[in-house]
Amino acid sequence: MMKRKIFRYIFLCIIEMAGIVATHAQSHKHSEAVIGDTVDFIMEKQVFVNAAGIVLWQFSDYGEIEGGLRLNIKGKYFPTVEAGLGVCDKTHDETDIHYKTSAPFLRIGCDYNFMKNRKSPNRIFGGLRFGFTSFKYDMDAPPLDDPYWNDSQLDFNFRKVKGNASWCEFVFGLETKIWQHLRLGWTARYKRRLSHKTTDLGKAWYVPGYGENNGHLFTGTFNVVFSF
Amino acid sequence: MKHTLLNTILLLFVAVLMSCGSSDCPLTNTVMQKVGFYNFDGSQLTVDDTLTVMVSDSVILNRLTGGTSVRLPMSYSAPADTLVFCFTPTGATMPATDTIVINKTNTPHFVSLDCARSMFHTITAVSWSRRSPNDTYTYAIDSVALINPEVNYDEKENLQIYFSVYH
Repeated sequence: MMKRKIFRYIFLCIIEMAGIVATHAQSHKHSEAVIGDTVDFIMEKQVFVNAAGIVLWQFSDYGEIEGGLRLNIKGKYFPTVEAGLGVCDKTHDETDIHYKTSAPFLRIGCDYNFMKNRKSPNRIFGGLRFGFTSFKYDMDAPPLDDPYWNDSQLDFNFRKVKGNASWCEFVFGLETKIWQHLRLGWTARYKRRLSHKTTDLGKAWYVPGYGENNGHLFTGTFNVVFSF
Repeated sequence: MKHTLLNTILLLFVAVLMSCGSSDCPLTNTVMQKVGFYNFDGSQLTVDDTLTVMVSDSVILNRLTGGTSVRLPMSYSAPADTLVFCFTPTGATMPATDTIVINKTNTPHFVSLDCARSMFHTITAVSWSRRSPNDTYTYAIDSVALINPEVNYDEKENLQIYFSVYH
């Protein structure tokens, strides 16, 4: 488990450094604001995939396979829909508790481009998302022997326990044009849980699309964007 | 250059926060029922006899003296626990015993993958044996009241034992 946490940390650092380098490479071009230039209402449409989520899903205990659609409204506003599949299959090294779930999630929101030059290939944006999901999870662990009653055990096998959650995300990110229709970008996100279902068993450990089921957490994405 | 450096620091800070984990495990993860000792008038009672509580062949409370309350474990899966209270006065060689049977339901509880599992209980009914105190064995259980049926991490009193005391 510690190795996977270390991998997660190093991987996130690498992709974010890559985002900085890509953005910096473009920052010397188109640096002057274009004043008085007119822009179309819908300047472009974008489709993107979160590459970091796919890699983390493959090499750690959980991750999100997600993508989205985004409109470029006058270079300022970027309404966004993100959807994907959150997957978790984790067994804790010390407690031997196994948790497994796989479910879709949806996020809706909008970003705002802070760059004065709306036609610049670089963007610095902040935004907001609202996300929600409904899922079922399995959980099991070896039985525990009762320390006082010899013929008593704590059995721990649960299947298809229902859960749901909603949350909001505060997004900050950079994006830059790499070549023709291809763009790369990253976001840092502060997530705040708004509601979640608990059962007699307790709360779900991982929420698809949100992450580990704490009241708030930080995550990020590395997006490969196709604009047209 | 300044913006790139600031950008770098900000991103590394965020990356560290992303990878940081915290544990929500409760500080005390033992689940025990809390049982208080009382006189008929509702005032707290101190049991001067040496008290031992047993289940089956196991001792779950060993030789408590001067106690006003006890915290006792509950079985993980049995629908009822039979507790034998053994009162041994000073100088006596044999104890007097009273029995309390606690009917309950058991619900597994989970906090996080890195926290120990536990079992919560809901007490549904309580029954007890009756014995009259005498000049040798001055303490005897008269009745048991169910105050709070939920046995979990909260430290609230669950049962109140009212004693007959020989004067």
